[in-house]
Amino acid sequence: MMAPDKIPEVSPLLDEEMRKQLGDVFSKLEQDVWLLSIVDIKNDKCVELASLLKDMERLSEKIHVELYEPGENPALEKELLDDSRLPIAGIYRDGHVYTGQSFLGVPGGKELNSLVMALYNTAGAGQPLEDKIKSRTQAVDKPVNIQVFVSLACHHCAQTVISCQRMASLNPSIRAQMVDANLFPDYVKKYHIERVPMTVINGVHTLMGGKSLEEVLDFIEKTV
Amino acid sequence: MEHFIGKKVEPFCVQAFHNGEFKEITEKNLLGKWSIFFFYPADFTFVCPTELGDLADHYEEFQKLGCEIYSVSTDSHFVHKAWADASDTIKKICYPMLSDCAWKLSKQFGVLLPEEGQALRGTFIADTQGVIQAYEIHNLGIGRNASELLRKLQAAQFVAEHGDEVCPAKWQPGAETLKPSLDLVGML
Repeated sequence: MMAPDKIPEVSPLLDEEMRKQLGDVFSKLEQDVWLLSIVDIKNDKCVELASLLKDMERLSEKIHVELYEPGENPALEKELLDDSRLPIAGIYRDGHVYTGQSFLGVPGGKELNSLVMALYNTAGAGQPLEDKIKSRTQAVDKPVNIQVFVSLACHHCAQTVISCQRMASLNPSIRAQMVDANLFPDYVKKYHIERVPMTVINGVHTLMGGKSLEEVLDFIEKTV
Repeated sequence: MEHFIGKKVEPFCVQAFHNGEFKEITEKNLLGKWSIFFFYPADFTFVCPTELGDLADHYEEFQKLGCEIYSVSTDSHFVHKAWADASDTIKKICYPMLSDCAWKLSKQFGVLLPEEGQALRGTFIADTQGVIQAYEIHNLGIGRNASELLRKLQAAQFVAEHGDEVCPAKWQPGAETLKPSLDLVGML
């Protein structure tokens, strides 16, 4: 694991008021949860993300952060990385069981809501969900790889990321990644992203606009 | 002041000049396609042919988007024909030119200037059910732009297909990460 002194554990993205709010939310975590990230120290965004995670780790004894240098943990890279893209962080439970929830980019702006909700849905009581919706989500048996392309200022985007990652937290066949499209012009070009959120499933099926869990689920059941 | 968003175009029946012929157009023609009502003050005036010509130049693009254009003035359909015969700009128009000589459409769309017997420069976009989704009304001297109208039509169609919970993205490579804000009310 990366030496702890390489990453500042006070993130400039958070202030004391925000830390207090986060602490209140994290006090609702019931189980331990791990945030794993691959950190290329030469990449400013990687350091920014790692610092944000380290800062959050300080706010709750349930949150554990592990940072790895590129090449240091090939199994993790195989599981988490898509085309070696960084910065990335994945959410793990029970030590090192991947929950399928990840963040490609730094979840600043509105996307901190997504990260906080992903932790709460993984290690806390989770958002209430109708039994019927829950069992439909768990019944999805094909591999579903969801990427939600966002901009950090978009208030509809976090809602969609939260919906998709909530699904991933319930079903190991489903993976859901937030992607800060601003950092990946090749994705913007490939998927013609002019508006956000744009949700792309298995690289081919596209869903536009803010979506509830049920709307995403309907789409997956019909389309994938 | 009332507005027209979400209102369904009321039944109407008018004469039109279209591709050299006279025909009747009613609200039934609107169903199943997007429509644009493009009001202008009068035939044989100067700003009008510029606007209508601009629209004619972009007509194919509107058609590709499944949209019919109806230009409307309070002139009769015979005057529309006379104007087309007299003006090269108007001759190239392939969309129906409606005659609102009874002022019914101009009144319905709130663009009538009764003393002049003319319509303001109003543009209305109606969806495939004939429901108005966007409009603009200009004073007489202020012209309109077909490219901008095309963009509005595309935006209206996008929202109709995907819902309105989207943000236009303006990509700024190298931009600093936005300071976080938490808004979890009702979620925990």
